Amino acid sequence: MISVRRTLVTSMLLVVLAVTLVLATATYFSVRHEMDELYDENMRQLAEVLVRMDAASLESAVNPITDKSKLSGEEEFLIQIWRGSALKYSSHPDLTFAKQQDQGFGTVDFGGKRVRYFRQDHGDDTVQIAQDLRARHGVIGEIYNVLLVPIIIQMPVLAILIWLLIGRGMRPLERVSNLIAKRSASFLEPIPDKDVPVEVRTFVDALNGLLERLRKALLVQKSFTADAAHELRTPLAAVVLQLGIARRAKSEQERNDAFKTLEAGVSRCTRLVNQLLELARNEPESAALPHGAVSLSGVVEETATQAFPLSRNKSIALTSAVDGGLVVSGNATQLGVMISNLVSNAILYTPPSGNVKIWGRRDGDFAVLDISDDGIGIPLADRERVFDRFFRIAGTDAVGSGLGLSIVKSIATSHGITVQILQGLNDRGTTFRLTIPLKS
Amino acid sequence: MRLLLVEDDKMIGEGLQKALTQSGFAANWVQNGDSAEVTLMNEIYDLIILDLGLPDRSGLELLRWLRGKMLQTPVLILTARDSVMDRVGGLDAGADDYLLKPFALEELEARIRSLLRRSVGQAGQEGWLRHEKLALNPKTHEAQFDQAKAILSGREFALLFALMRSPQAILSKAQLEERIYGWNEEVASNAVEVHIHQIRKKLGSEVIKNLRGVGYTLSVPG
Repeated sequence: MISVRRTLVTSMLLVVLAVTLVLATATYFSVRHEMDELYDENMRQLAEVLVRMDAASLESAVNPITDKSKLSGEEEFLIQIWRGSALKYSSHPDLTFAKQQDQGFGTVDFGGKRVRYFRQDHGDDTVQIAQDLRARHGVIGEIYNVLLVPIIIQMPVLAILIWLLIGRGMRPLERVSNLIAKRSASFLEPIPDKDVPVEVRTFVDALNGLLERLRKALLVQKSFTADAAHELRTPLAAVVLQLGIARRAKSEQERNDAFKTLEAGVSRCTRLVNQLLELARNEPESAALPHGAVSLSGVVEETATQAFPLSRNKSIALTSAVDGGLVVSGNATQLGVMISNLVSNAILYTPPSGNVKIWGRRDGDFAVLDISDDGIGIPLADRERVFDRFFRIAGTDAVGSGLGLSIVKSIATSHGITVQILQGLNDRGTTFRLTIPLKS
Repeated sequence: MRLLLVEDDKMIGEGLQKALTQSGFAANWVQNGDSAEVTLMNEIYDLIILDLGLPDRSGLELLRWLRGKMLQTPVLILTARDSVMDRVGGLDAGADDYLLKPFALEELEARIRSLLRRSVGQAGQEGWLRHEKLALNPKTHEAQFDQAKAILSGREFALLFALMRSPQAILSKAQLEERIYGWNEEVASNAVEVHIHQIRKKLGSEVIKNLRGVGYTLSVPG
């Protein structure tokens, strides 16, 4: 699992370590350079002094150190004086270092060591000062020991400190997450953004937006479920009632009548349940069904065929005329459900021997589909409300679930279709006008 | 026993009317608040079965209107609304009972009987209603008068019950007809006389007194 705290601690420690190393390296080279200059200068000055002395005073001034076979410490130089090619003097006779070729400074490997030397000639005499580079640079190492050790020791301390400080910095996050953990379906209050740091504020604001949307969706869902339960009880009551009547029936005829009504009640329940499902399927939150190119005349033809028996039973003339080649974008099944709901509504609310007409044509970039009847019509005052769930117009006898037009509305919304209610045929009834965008 | 059924759902209204008529009630059925108001202003009912979700107004409004008119008719609310708030609201508005849809026919009838018993002012033993020497059992349609015992038909029972509701009153033939028949039932011109004849045959001629030219009663006036 990714931990912000762990990542931060690790990366900060790595940065501190890297910076320390770079600085240390840079300092090392810079100090060494300074040291080199300093010692070189020492060597040169010493050589100049020695070259001006005569050999006699030289020998008395500088006694050879015979008991030492090597140069000890960084301060010590090997001093050699030649007259001609004969070595006249060596500060450390046990050490051998060849007389170098050229005058001035040089660095050579000698006897497995890096040696820095300075040679100066004066007439026949040659003075040569040499120093072991390892000894010379050893002092830097000593300085480093003093500097680096504390840095290495402080790393774990630094790690612990960073860890604690980040934890402290992340405490508001922890508080927010505790507040989120308290939220549930029944408690979707916004998270207070007081005392929330700036960095977390956008996060909390976005979350509060989500909570609000969720609360609203749940509210809609809840009222819908309550409505649905209420609406299901009525047809169920009818079914239970008919069952009671059937059980009490004294004659075959009575029983058959009761069963017939019972069947009608059951199919009413079934239709209601189907429509509830249809509606749930069309919820804006639910996954969208695939859209494709749909031929409007095809969908209308299919719908009209299905509705034909219903219209024939009521002696209603059902006619349809849809221009060919109207191709709209959408889900064929849903478009069919929408048109079929409107057509069966028209048949349901039109008295026997009435007319129901479906007319589709092109208007610019849209297909316009009218479903018209010369039935009882919808009062102006109710035209807004007919799309509400479970709304039924007062005084109508027809048994509808009150869901048909809600389904029409939700399918229309998901397809970008506008629905208008206009006057129907023969100066009465209703026309539902669908304006459907053509597939480009 | 005359019931008014206020129910907008056709399937339930028709079914209930049929079932209650078979059980011996005279059940009139209206589908909206306005029609209910009209019939309540003009006719007497022993009980009202009221749906809350009426198309033109809420059943509660109708109930308040009814109680505002000082009509004491028992009201049983029959509805799909099950929230505590709805139930409390219904009972507080003046309903006497509250039954949820879907319901069992038997339970509805038992509640109707219970409300009728109470409206007669009696909560007798095992559901028996008594007036002097006469006892009626609304559930079994049994009747006792003196030593005589009999099981009455639905109409006969309804007729005796109508008289028992107001034992001191004298009910005319037309009033009795109204109490035992619903709107759509065909009533023979001598139907009330036929029922009374049958009752007297079963329980003795003393059970119903006849005041010539006025009507019928249970008690001897004076």
